[in-house]
Amino acid sequence: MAFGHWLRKNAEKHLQEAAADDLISRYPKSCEKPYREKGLDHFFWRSIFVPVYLAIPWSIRKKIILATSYPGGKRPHWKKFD
Amino acid sequence: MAQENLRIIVIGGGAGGISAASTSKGLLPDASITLFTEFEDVAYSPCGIPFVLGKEIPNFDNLFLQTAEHYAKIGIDLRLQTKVTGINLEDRTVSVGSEAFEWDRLVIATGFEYDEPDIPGIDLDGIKYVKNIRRAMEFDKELETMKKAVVVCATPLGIEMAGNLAHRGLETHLIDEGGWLMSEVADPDIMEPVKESLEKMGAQMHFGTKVLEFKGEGGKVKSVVTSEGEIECDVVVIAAHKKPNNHLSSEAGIELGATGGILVDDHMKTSVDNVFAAGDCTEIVHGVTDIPIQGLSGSHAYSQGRIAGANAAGDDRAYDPVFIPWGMVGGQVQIGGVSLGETLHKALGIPHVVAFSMGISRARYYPGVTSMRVKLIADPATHKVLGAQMAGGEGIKERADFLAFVIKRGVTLDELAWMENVYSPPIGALMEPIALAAQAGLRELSK
Repeated sequence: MAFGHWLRKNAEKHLQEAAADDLISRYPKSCEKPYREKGLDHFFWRSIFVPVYLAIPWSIRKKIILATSYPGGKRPHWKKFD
Repeated sequence: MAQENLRIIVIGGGAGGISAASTSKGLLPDASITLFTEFEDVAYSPCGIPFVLGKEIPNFDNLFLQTAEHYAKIGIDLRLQTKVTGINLEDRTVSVGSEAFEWDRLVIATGFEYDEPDIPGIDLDGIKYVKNIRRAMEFDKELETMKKAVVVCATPLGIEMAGNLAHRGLETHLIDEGGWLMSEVADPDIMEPVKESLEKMGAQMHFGTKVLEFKGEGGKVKSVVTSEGEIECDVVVIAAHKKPNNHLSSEAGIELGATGGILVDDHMKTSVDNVFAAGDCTEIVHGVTDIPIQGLSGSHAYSQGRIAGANAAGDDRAYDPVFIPWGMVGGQVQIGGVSLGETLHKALGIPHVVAFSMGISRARYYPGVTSMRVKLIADPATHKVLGAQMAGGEGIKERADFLAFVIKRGVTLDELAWMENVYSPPIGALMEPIALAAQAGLRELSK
């Protein structure tokens, strides 16, 4: 698996889990307790990656996501919507 | 090279492949168009399979849109049950075993495959995936003697299968690790009425539950061992996530993106000249976030196929980034939305404000009126709408389509709050629920 693919897969999983935990506190009646994997690697993603990711402003974070999304950071041509 | 003598090869007979081949043929009637598919059929609606299995649709014949004879008649050389085993970019050939076929333009529409979970017992008989119509026909016959079903993963397909198997009269269990239905993309408040509806139909929900093992007897699945206990069953449906089927493209050296989908531009061109791709095997840019995403709907694949087919035939057509209006029926409830919901806005950390309304679908006194929850997500700085999710009894699909256009055009909450709307007692209420949600959003922002 390419680095970009690996990074995105893990980042997505743990960012979604963190968002889900937040929504559980906002909509407690509509949710049940989710299953969470345990282990050192999950600890890293949950306790280090997620807080660091969310501390970076969205405009910078978006640039990082786009840079890691394409081989060599080169984006194919697509129309941009403001 | 004269365009009319072009040799265009399409790999894949799903929505993307068949629309690419048909569009190329329509634009260049004299071109040689060959479509390879490893399956027995083309041009049917796989999305309809759960509803035939649930006896909502009487039979599988209803799902076919066109016959193989139709494509032969319009001059497309359809090679059914023919698996392409390699793509050679230097020689411009595809191989089928030892035989090679030359192309001037290639369209790859190899679709998706399920992300098969790594669980002991996954190879037992009676563990099913819903994709191919012939396998679904066989499954339909087997279901006649089955009484208990387990559906793994509360994805859209998992929800449809759980509802339809319960409708068919089977004792049905839906297992998911998340805390609510479709928890990775949909919001819990939107999915709650779906959960209630499925439970009312008899389906049993098991949230926060991990599947640990499939146990069998004589090679056939008999129970599912989970983190919360064991569930007996006659059949298991795996409604796992889809991943792009890109073995051929990857081996050939065509560039893939971070999602695992083929990198394409807005002309559906890949990293290799004269090679195009369309549908679930590609990754497409999201209109709001600009981030490439993968795994869209059949209607996206169909449209992308038309663009790829047209450009392969020498035309110059572009495909816009996607805003993804979606909708479905879960249990007896319609749900839908556009772009990202609250869950994914939070996950990505995009600044947003959330606004709700509870509206009605018709005049409050008109028979058949149903309530509708509309949630709008907007940019707090510009007030532009970024996403929406809805649940109700009717009118969800049309609102999702409308809101997709709203977001694409950069419409703000201020504009939506005072939108004009149809008022006619049998089909529309005086107060449009979308406008009510936008007004609630403006109140929230003024606090």
